[in-house]
Parts: sequence; C-alpha cells; structure tokens
Amino acid sequence: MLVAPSSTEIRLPEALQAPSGAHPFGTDALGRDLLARVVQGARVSLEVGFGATLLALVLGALLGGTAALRAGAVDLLLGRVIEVLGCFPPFVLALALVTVAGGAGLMPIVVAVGLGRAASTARFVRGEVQRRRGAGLWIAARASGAGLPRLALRHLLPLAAGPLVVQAAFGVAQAILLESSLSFLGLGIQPPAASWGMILAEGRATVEVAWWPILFPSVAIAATLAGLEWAGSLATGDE
Amino acid sequence: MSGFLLRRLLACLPTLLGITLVAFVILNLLPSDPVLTWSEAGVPMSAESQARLRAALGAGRGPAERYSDWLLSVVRLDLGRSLRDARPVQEVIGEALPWTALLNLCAMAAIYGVGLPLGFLGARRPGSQGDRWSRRILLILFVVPPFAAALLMQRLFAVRLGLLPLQGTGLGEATGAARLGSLAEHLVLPVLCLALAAWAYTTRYARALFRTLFPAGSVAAARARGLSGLRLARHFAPMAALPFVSILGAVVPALVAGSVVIEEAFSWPGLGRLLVHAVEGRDYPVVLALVLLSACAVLAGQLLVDLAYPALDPRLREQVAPDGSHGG
Repeated sequence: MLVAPSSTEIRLPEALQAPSGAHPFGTDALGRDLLARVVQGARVSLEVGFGATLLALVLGALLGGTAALRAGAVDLLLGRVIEVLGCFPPFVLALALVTVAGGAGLMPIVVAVGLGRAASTARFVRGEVQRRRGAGLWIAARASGAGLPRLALRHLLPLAAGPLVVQAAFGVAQAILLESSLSFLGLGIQPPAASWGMILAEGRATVEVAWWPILFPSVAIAATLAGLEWAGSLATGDE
Repeated sequence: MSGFLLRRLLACLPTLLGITLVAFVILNLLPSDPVLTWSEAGVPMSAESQARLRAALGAGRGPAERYSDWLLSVVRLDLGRSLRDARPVQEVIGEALPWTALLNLCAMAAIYGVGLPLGFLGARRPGSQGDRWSRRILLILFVVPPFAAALLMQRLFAVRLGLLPLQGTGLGEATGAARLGSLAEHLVLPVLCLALAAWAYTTRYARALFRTLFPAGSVAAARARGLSGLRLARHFAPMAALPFVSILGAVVPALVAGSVVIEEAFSWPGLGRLLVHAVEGRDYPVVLALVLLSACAVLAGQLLVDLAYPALDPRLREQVAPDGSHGG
C-alpha cells in the first residue's frame, strides 16, 4: 500500500500551496497534503462502491431470479416491484435516505445505489433466466431431481457471470459518482474523513485562488470511472 | 390504437401507487421524533406547540391511516406545507419548476442537437478517424462527474477568462431587453454541464440505433420507387425519430439526478436546489413531494417511449382484426 508522504495533519501555515516536490498535489485550505487525502478518498470510494454493488447484485439476482423461476402471479408482482424501484433515480433516493437518516454517513449511499442498481440487475437476471428455462441443460437438471435453489446456483449463475460483472462495474461507478455528488453537497460523509467529492466541495470555497483541490480529485474520479467503464466494455465486447 | 393507449395508461396506475408507497415509507422511516430533532437544533417551542406540531405530523395515527390520508390529499394536489416557512408545498414547487424546466429543456436541446448528428455520422462512417476521436473525447466527458465539470468550468470561464458568469440566473442584474441576454449568458455553463455526460451515451446509443435502422440500400430502394426530396424525408422521418424517443428513457432520469447537483453548483433556483436545501433543513414534506415528482417524471419518460414506439414503427403495432378487436 502506498505510504502517503505526510499524514493528513492540519498545518495551517502551509495552507493552499500549489503542487511542489514536498506536496505533489499541493495542500488544501487547512494545509493538509492533498495527495494523502486523495488516497484516503480512494478507500472510501472503494468501500461504497463494493458495498452498494454487492447489495444490488444480491437483491437484483434474488428478485429477478425468483420472478423468472416462479412465473405466474409471483412474476407479475415482482415485475411491478422491479419497475417501481427502477423509477427512483438513485441520487434522489439517496437524498431522501439522508434526510431521514439524521447524521449522514455511508449507509444512505450504499442502500440507494443498491436499490437502484438492483432494479436493472433484476430485469437483466429475469430476462436471462427466462431465456434459459427451455434449454436442454435446464430440463436435464430438473429431470435429475434438482430443486430450484440448487438449479439456480449451480446452473444459472456460471452462465450469467459475465454480464453480471458488467453490471457490477457500472454499479461501482455509479456508487462512486453518487458518493462524490453527495459529499460535494455536504450531505455525504462528515469531515475530517476524506472522500473525493468532499475534497471538491472544500475546493469550491477557494475556486478563485486554487485550482489543484479541484483538479486532482476530479482526475481521480474520472480515471476510476474510465477504468470501470473500460472493464465493463471489455466484458461486453464493445469496440 | 386508443385501446392500446388506454391500457398502457392504466398499467401505470399500480406502478404509480407503488411509487407513492415507497416514497411514503422512506420518508417516514424517522428514527426519532422530528419535533425533538428540532428542539435539539435550537428551535424554541412551547410544550403546547410541540403537541400541535406532533398532531399535525400525524404522530398519533397508525401508519396505514397516515398513508391513506396522505394519498388522498396528494390526489387533491395538496402536498402539505413546508416545514421551513409554512408555505404550501405546491407553491414552493411551482416557483422552482419553471427554472428547472427551462434548464432541462435547453439541456435536452443540447443533448439531442449534438448527440444525434454525431451518432448519425458515426453510423455512416464507423471506424473512421473522426468517429474514433469523437468517441474518445466523449468518453472523457462522460467520466468527469458533472459537479467537477461545473467547478472546472466555473474556474476556467468565469474566474480565469471572465467570459461567463459564475452563477445565478442573471435576471436580477439586468433590466428590460438585456435581461434575456443575461439569462442566456447564465444558462450556458449549467446547460453545458448537464449535457456533457449525456453526450457520450446518447451518441453511442444513436450510433447503434442508426446502424440497425438504415440497412444499406434502403435509401436507394426508396429512391428507386420514385420517392425524392420532401417525400423521401417524410418516408424516413418516423424511423429517424425513433432514436429521439428511445433515448428519452435514459436521458430523463439522468437529467433529474443531474439537475440537483448542477443547480446547486450554479445557484440556479430550480427544483434541484430546492431539494438540496430541503434535505439540509430536514423539510420532510418538500423532500417527499420532490421524490414523488422525480419518480413520476421518470415514469412519464418511460411511458412516452412506450407509446411513441408503436406510433413510429409500424412493425410494433398490434394486429387489428377486421371486426375491430385486437389480436394481441
């Protein structure tokens, strides 16, 4: 793990220094080393990203899979649930959750992105399972007496792995974007914790005199999103 | 056709109901007594007014009752009162709505105005230098988060170059005819930021769509049949309109979410900024109303797509039997 040059202590005399040898990313308004803070922010982003995506995948697979496997009335009902969930933009959902959650923290983000992505994951899983229901492999497995959960786990999951990875990549990207947007608005994690969006929010106050608190976290977010996007497109075989 | 329309609209009702339920449940997951939250925040209240406020917030009634009461009032378009200044929520929203509408309409114009032509060109010459470069640039634009783009652009255009205003709507600063110019000036950066991220996927989407819609030779075939000029354009118009419509399904939710951050960054007095302030001030009725509104907007976008598709693409229309009944 990278060792940050100096810890994120507040050193007011060194406030708002442009990038230099001692501080490759410069310092922020409280004299904290920006590189160290950006690295800290990476950790927050990863936590949020994976937490939310995990929730989305599990929930989505459960919803979509159950809907497609049970069919009939269950399918109809769950289909509606998925549709309703999909109508709420995750960001707006996150804001609603932040309102009721009192002190912010990461939970609203994880839940909001999780629910939002769960809808699209569920739709996808449902489609995939419906497609495979008539396949020979399926019928053979059923004929050998496999129960539904076993069927789902051993036969369907491996087949859906590829596209699920894509969903995961986009999910992480969306979670990171959401978290930074919330922190930017001052509604995400609380100081002194660092997150890319938070650094940007702090940089907003000094936008007229310092460009580095704005540029570096932006590049960090953009690069991460680009990487995830690229990983996702590799899996789908886009050009 | 109208039967289809009716059925599609009716099919929305359960979803609409579900939306109200989810919104209501979320905004009522209060972990603590809202009145206490406020008194902690230093809002002075006598025991009497606390009791009245609790009653107004429905503390004494059961959840099902509160939900049905609330639902009935929503249907009557009564969304309650803002907890901040006791004004009716409809009024507060009504003030902010035109601003958001203006911003988003301009953003849509920008999105379609750039995305569709680029997508069309990309479909006609896939793999060309221009195509590849435009996609790279668009990818970069896509991954820069809107608020970062906002800050960077404010820094560049407003602070450094002094070309464009930093924030606000510009209406307070000018008078008479100059107000229009001031407004337009103030619109540039926010619209640009909103459209930025959308350009990447709009172009990609349009490209894929155009490639499938215009199989090689279909234009030549139409010409061979004697169509030309305006009639040719009208012949292909419904097909060409399809991408406009199908992209709506993705653009609307993106605009709804994007508006929040952009409006806040540029101090644009729209619904997005209203939402942020309501969240900060724990103004539950306003937050609830706005959450409902945004979900309905997304639903409306999807509905438009579903309704427009069969209208534009005859292959998707249901078969109508000679006796007028539907075969589907």
